Amino acid sequence: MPDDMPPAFDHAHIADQWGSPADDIYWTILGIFAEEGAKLCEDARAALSGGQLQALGRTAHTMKSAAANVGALHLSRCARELEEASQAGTLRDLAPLVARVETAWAAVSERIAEGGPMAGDPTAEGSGHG
Amino acid sequence: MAEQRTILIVEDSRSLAQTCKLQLEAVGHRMLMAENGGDALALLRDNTVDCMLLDLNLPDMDGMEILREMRQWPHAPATVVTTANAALTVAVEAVRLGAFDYLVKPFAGARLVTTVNNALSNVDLKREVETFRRTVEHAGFADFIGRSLPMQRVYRTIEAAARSSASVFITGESGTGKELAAHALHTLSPRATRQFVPLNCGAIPRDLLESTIFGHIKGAFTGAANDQDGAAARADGGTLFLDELGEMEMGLQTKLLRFIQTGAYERVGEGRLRQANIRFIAATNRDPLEAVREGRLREDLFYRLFVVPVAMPPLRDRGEDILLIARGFLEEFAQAEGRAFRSMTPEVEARLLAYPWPGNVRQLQNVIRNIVVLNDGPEITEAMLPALPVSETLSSGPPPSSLFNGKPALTNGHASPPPLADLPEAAEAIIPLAQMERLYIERAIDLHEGSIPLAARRLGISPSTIYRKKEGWG
Repeated sequence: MPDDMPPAFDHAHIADQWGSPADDIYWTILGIFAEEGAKLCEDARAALSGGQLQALGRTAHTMKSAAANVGALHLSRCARELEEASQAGTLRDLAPLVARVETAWAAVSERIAEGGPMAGDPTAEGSGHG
Repeated sequence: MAEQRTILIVEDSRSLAQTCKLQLEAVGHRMLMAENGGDALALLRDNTVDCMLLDLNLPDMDGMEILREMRQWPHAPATVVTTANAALTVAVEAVRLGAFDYLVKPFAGARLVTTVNNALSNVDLKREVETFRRTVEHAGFADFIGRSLPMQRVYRTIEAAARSSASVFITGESGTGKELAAHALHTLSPRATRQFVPLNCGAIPRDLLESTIFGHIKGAFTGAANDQDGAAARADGGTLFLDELGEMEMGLQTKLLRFIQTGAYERVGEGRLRQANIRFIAATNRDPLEAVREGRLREDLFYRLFVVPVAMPPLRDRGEDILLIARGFLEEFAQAEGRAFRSMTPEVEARLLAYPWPGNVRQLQNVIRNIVVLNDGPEITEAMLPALPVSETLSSGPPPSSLFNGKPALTNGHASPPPLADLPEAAEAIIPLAQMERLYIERAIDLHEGSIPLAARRLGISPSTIYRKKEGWG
């Protein structure tokens, strides 16, 4: 994981959208997103390999919204760049952007596996769910 | 308890869809979910949806297409568009196509709940204004004439219930418009394009009622020459109206209950289950709870049907509606009969308003028809009024004798026994009781324009008794 990569989760955004501490629904949704995000990454890679520009754009669009919903704003930004590039660019230019989404997803996934957005983050107010 | 509303979420992201679902369920709404536009349109056609959260970027279509499609619908849900694209032009276009509001993703739960509740209030207000406008402009609602307060309540209930598939139980005296109410519930519902099938359980011989409802196969019983579908098949996707439900025999009530609960039924003699998606409306002119107590109506069937009760007010409680209805009939019959009638004198109007109308709108209709057929002129005068029976149980104070021209007065809705002077004086003049009974029953049927249920009610017996006797007469 690159040291200069932005935090996987934006705590202020989560507090704004879900309250502080985040309500129970947030933790349920985070669990669903853990599965959905992995599937979207697979779909993006498959679309890239299959040369399906439109499918890639749609997958990036869904990832952008779903990631922002749980406060994974860096992942959401990477997905937005991929979505915009897939609408305008060619497949050759998109490979690095898919890789960026995968890297951002890996950070988010790792944090979820550790116990949630606040886990292991000394700047966070909470330390995860429960 | 607040009414539960149905919200459709159209969203292809599972986590986003669940976010909306859990937050709206937490405030008591019922949720339907669609991952694409095709599923959304199917759910909209098959359900009564109050509000829709619509993602514009769907896998199979642009959400704008759904908005365009719904513009043709008379009862489209209030739609809140959800989009990750904050461009104002998208939102403006969605609102132009009929969306109530839009939410830019991600959005907080509180904002979602507030926006959906605002959308629901907006659609409620629109419907209420529309009902009021129609009522005032047309002095009525659906095929009803009248704008009295009791009828305004009926209209509001019908309008609200029409959007649902919930069963409706209509009560009210004879002639108050129970079938009109059932028909309005159907025509204002999403089922309006399918059939409305009315059945009068009291007017169909008991041994034929099961096959009338469920159909039969060839040879199922004597006279079943061919396979035949019943009302259940005709009403599939539409509405089945069961009038005089209390006249249905208990065994058939059990089959009806199972049909209502499962949507499954068997044609008589077939032995295989068929399915139908039906909205049930039942009606009775008697107290249904009394019928339950007397063992004539299954309690579980009653409660299964008594989801939305509609009580039709008697005409005597509808004030000026009496004149609106009388004028409506006058115009209709005068045109049909080629008469010059245009109005009524104030004295006639006062008489009509004072009369208790035990036969309700049907009686008023017959009175106006009688006047139009037997008279002519620009206006109805007092001299043209026919004899109107007076029910002591319905009128308060002394009966309006000027409306009563010496015909037998009614007591508890029934004629007093004839005076002794009218009875035979010689033994030879006595006719057999069975013959007398037949004459009397047939006369009662004639006087009720061939209606056996009405004749039976007047005679104080059940319609099935008359059917049985008619069979015996050959």
